[in-house]
Amino acid sequence: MINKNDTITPLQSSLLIVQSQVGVGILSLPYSVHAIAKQDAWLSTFLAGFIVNGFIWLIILLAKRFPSQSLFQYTPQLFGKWVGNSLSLMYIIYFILVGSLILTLYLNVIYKWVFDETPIWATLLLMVLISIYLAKEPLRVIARFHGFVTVLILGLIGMVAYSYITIDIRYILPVGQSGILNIFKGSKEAAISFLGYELLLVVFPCILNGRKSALKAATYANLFVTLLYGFVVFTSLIVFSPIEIELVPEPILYMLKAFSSRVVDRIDLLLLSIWMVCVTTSYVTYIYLGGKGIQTLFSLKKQSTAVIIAAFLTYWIPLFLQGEVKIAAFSKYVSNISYIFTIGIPVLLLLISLVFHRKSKEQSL
Amino acid sequence: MKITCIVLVLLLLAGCWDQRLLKNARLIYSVAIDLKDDGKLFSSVTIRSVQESGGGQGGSVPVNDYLSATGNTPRQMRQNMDSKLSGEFEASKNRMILLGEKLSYQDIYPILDIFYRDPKSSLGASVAIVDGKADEITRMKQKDEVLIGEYVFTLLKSGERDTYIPKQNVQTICPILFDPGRDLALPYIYKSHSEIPTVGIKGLALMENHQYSGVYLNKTESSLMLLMSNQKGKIARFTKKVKPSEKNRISQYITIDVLDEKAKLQIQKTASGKIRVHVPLQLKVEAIEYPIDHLIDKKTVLALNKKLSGILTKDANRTLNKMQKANSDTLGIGRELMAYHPDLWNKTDWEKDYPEIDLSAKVTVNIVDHGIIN
Amino acid sequence: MKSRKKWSQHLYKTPQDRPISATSSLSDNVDYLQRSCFYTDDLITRNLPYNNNKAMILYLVSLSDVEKIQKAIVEPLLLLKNCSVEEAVPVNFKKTNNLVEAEFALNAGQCLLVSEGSETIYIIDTYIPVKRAIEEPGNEQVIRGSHEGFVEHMQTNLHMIRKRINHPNFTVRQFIVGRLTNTKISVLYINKLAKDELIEEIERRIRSISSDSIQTPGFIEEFIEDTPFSPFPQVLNTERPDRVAANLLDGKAAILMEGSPTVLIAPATFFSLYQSPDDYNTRSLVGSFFRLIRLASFIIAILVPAFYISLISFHYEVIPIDMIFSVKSGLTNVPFPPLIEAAFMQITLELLKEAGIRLPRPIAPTIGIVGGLVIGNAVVQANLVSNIMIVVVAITAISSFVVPSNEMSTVLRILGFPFMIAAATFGFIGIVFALMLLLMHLCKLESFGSPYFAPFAPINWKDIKDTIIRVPRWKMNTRPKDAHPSIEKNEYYSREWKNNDKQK
Repeated sequence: MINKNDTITPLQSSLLIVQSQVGVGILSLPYSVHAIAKQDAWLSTFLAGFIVNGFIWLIILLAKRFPSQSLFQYTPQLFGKWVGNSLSLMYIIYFILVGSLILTLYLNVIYKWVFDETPIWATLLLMVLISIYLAKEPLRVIARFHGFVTVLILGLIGMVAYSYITIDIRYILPVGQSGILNIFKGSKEAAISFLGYELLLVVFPCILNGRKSALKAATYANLFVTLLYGFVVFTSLIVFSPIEIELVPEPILYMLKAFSSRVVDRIDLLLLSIWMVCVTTSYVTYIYLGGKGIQTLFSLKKQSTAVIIAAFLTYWIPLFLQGEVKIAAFSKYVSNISYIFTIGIPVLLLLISLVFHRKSKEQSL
Repeated sequence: MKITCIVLVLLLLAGCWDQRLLKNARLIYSVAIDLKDDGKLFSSVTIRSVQESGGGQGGSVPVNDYLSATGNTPRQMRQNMDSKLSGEFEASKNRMILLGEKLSYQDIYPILDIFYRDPKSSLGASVAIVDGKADEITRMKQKDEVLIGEYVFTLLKSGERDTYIPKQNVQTICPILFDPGRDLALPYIYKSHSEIPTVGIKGLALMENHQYSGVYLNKTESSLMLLMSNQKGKIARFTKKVKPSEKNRISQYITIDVLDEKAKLQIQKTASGKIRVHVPLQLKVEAIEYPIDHLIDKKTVLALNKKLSGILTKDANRTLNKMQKANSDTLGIGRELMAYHPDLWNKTDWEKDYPEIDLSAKVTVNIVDHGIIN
Repeated sequence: MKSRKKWSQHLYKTPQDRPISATSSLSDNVDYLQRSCFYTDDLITRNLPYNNNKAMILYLVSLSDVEKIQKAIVEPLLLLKNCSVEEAVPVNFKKTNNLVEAEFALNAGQCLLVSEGSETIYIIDTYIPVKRAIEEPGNEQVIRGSHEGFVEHMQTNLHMIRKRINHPNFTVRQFIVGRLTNTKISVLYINKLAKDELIEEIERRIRSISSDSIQTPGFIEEFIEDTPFSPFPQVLNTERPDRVAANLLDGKAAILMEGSPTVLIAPATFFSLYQSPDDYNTRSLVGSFFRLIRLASFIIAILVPAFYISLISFHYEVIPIDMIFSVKSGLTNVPFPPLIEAAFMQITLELLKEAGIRLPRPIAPTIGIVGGLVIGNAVVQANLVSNIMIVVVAITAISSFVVPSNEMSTVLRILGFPFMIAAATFGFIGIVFALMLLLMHLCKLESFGSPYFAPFAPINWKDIKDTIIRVPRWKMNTRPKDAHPSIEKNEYYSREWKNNDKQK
C-alpha cells in the first residue's frame, strides 16, 4: 500500500514533525499567549507542549493499530465506504484550511514587514508554486528538505539569544501571578502553534520501524518544539515590559530590529528569512497531506495532480481574506476545529477500533 | 520542471513593485524636533550627501544638508520635508533624535510613535533632550570637520562609555516608557554660545512618566545613579577633594576609576507602613591620580577609603533626593516592588508615594589598585 | 519507416549479426572481405603462400603494426616449412569461420590470414595503438601527490588504475556501444564492495544506449544520468587515476571510454564535486579549512551579486551606517538599474573567460589587457557600473573558479543569474525563495539511487567527516554511505601502535 521505497528514518520523521510544527505561529506566539496568560505566558507554552504530547501519544496509539495504512486508507475499513470516505473528505478540507491559514498569516506578516506594493497574488503564487515543487515528491524527499533546513532553527535560536543584552527578569516575577485558570486558557492559545503533529495520522506507515520508534521520535520532536517555543516566549517576556508587549504583535521580529552590528543592521530581516523557510515547510506538509488524501480518496494515479489541486484550493482563501479582523476570525475558526481533527476524531477512531477489535489485517508486519 | 519554468517566467514578467533604489534615497542622519510657540511642531534634519571634489579620483567629501518644516504631527512634518526635497526622504538610517526642552515637557511617546510603527525605521537611533532648542544643534551642520549628526552620536557613545548616560536607543527606552515601575533618564545635552560653539553632555534629564520633569542630574550624579542601578559603562571616574590641608591645589584631589560596582536595592516596610529603600553601593576602585602617593601604606588607604565613602555617600543621597523631587524612579524601585513584594506594590499608589518613601544610599569605597607607582 | 529500416540494416552491422560462414575458396573469402570494406584504399592484401598452399593476409595499414606483421607473420610463415600456423606465429591469434566476425576484427586493426582450402580464418593481433605521453591533466592540477593523468588509450588508463588497486576483486566489464563508432567502454568496480544493485543499474543503462555514435564521455553521461535537465552534474568527470581509484574504493563505479582521457564516476554526490586529491595530501586541519573555503565559495558565488542587488534596491537599511554613504556615492552616477548593471558585468566576465579559452596562444595576452580595461577603472569612470559592483563581480568570479570540478564551476556562474533576477524582483524574499528552490532541487536529485545532497539531506552526521571537513584518515573508520557500499568498515586501529607505546 505504501511504496516500500518511500520510507523515512526515525530521525527524519522527528525533523519532519519539528518543521511541520514550527511555522507561521512562532512570531506572534508571545503576543497571543500573553494576551491571555499575561506574565505567565511562558508557563502556558510549556503546559501546551505537555498537553500536545498527550495528543501525540493518542494519535500514535491509533496509528499503531493500522501500522501499514494511512488515515485515508483505514477509515473506510472502520466505517464502511460512505462514512469513511466522508471522514477522509473532512480531513482533506481541514488540511486545506490549515494550509490556507498558514498562507494568510504569512501574507499578513510579509505585508506588514517587507512589502507594501507587491500584489498579493504574486507573493502568494511564489510561495504556492515553490511548495508544490517539493510537495509533489515522495515523502523521503520532503523529509530530506525538512531535515536539512532544521539547521536554520539553530540560527533562529542564536538570533533570539542575541536580545539577551537588554533583559529584565523582573518582568515575569512573581511567577504564577495570573492564576492557574488563565495559564490553562493561555495554553489553549499556544496549542495552535504546535499544530503539525497530526501529520502522523498519514505518514506513520512510512516511518521505518514505526511501531517502535515513532513514539520516541515524535516525543523528541515535540520536546524540542516545546523548548524552542518556551525559550522564545520567555525571552520576549523579559525583553518587553508588560504593557509594551500588548502593542507589538510580532515581538520576536520587533526586538531584533533595534540591534545593529558592524556588519549588518536590521537582523529582523534575516530572522524573517529563516521564518519564511519554516512557514514553507509547514505549508508543504499540509498540501502534501491534503494531496495524499485527495489521491487516496479519488484514486488518482499521480500524486502531483492531487497536490496541485490541494495547493490551488488553498490559494484562493487568502486572496479574499483581507484585514486583521477577518484574519483573526478565520484563525479562531481553524484553531477551534483543529481540536476536533487532532484529538476528537482520532480518539473516536481509537475507541471504535478498540471496541470492535478492528485492526489492520496484516499484523505480521 | 514545468513549475520551475513558470516561476522563472513569472519572475521575469513581474515588475519590481517594492523597489526602493538606494541611488534615489536621501538619507537622514539626525532629526531635531521642537515645539513652536503657536503649539505646532518644528522639525529640522540633517541629510548627509556627498560632494564630488572633482576629477573622480580625488575622492569625495561628505557634507550635511539642512532641511526643516513645521507641522502638527511628526508624519506631517516628514511629508512637508519630502515635498521640499529632491529624491526620497528616507529616515531608515537615522541615528539621532534630538528633542527640544520645551517639547520634552509634553508626552514624548507621540513623537516617537512614528519610529516604532514603521518597519523600516531604525530603532538603533539615540534619543537626547537638548537644553534650549534642538534646532540650534542641527543648524550647525558641522562641528569643526565632523558632521553634526555624527558628532552628537559619537558624543553620546563616549558618554555611555564614561558612565554619564545609560546605553539606550529608541527601542530600549520603549519598555521603560511603558513600565509603571520604572522611569526613564534621557541624555541631556547643550550647545554653548561661546565664541567657538561646542556641544556637550550636561547630564541626565529625569523623566516623570512620559515627560521631562525639569530636573536633571549632573555628570557625577548621573554616574552615581547608573552605578546604583548596576549600569556601569567601560569607565566611571570621580575626582574628589580629599586633602584640603595640602597647599598645592592639585594635591588636594584624588581621581578614582571604578573597577567594579555592586548595588542591591534593600526594600523594607517600616512599622508605620512606610516603605524604606536602602541602596548600599560597594565600589572597588583604582586610584589613577594622586600626587601625594604612599598608597602602599595601609593606614593611608583606609583613611582615603573612609573619606571617599563619606563624600560619595553624600553625593549619592543628593542624587536620590533629586530623583524623588522629580518623581522619577529611574532605579526601577517600583519594578522591584512588583516582582518581589507584590503585596506591597498593590497597596501603594506609586505615582504619589514614590516621593514620600524613605530612600537612602550608602557608598563604600575600597581602593584596590593604584597604577604602576605607589 | 520501411526505408529507414532498410538503411539501418545496411549500416548497422554488428559482430553479433547472423554469421556468414567462410567458404573453402580463398578468392571467395577475400572477395567478401574486400567487398565488405568497399575496397577501401588502406586495406592491404598480400599473397603469402605457406606449406605449399595459397594463402593471403589482409590488414588495414592505418591501424596495424606493419613491422609486427613482417616479423611475426610473414617471416615465420615464409621461412618455416611444414608446420602449422599455431606453431609459427608468435603473437596472439584467434580462429574463426565467421566472415562477419573477421570483418569487424579487420576494422579493429587485426590482421587476417586466409588460406586456400580452409574455412578457418586466423585473426592475428597486430593492432598498434597511438598513445601520447602521460601528463598531468591541465584542468585538475594538484600541488602534492600523483601527477599522472589519463590518456586517450584505454589499456594505459586501466593500467594506471590497476596499479593503484592490486586486488583480485577489481573488475573490468567491457561493452561496445555506438552502432557506427563501435566504441569500447569499460565499467570498473571492486566486486563485493560496490553494491550489486548499483552495478546492475549502470550496466542496464549502458545496454540501453542505442545511439549510433559515442564521441565523448559526455554522450554516455547524458544517456545514463537520472535528471538530464538539472543544472548539476550527476556523474563525476575526472582525468586523474588517483581520484578514480579513491572513488572505486568508496564502492562507486567508473566508466572508461576508448579514445578519451575523461573517466565518469557514478554515483556522484554534490560534495564529491568539492573534493580534491590535494585535501588528502595536506594535513587534516589545512584540508578541512580548504574544504570549508570551497563550500563558502559556493554560497558566495551564487548569493553575493543577488544579495548586493537586493541591498541597494530593496533593503538598504541593512547596510551599516558607516558603509552606506560610500556605497551610495558610488551609485549616484550610474544610470542603469542594479540588475542590468550586474548582468552586464557578469556577461562581460563570461565573454572574457570564453574568449580566453578560444583565443590562439600567440594573441592570448591581448585578452588580459582588454579585460583589465573592461573590468576595472575605465568602466567605473565611464559611469557604466559602480565600483562596488566591480568588487562584487570579481569576488563572485574568483569564488566560482575555486571549485575543483570545472562542470560545477560553470553551473555556479549560471545559477547566479536566476538568483539575481529573484533578488531584483522580490528582494530578500526572492532570494530566500530561490534558495529554497535550489535546496529542494538538490534534495530531490538522486544519482543512481543515492541521494545527491548526502550527507546533508538526508542528514548523516558520520559522513560529514569527509565532506565539509576532512578529519584525519585514521578517524574515517567507515566509508561514506552515499554509494551504499556493501562493506562499511574501512580502517581499524591504524594507530594501534600508540596504545602499545603507552602500555610499555
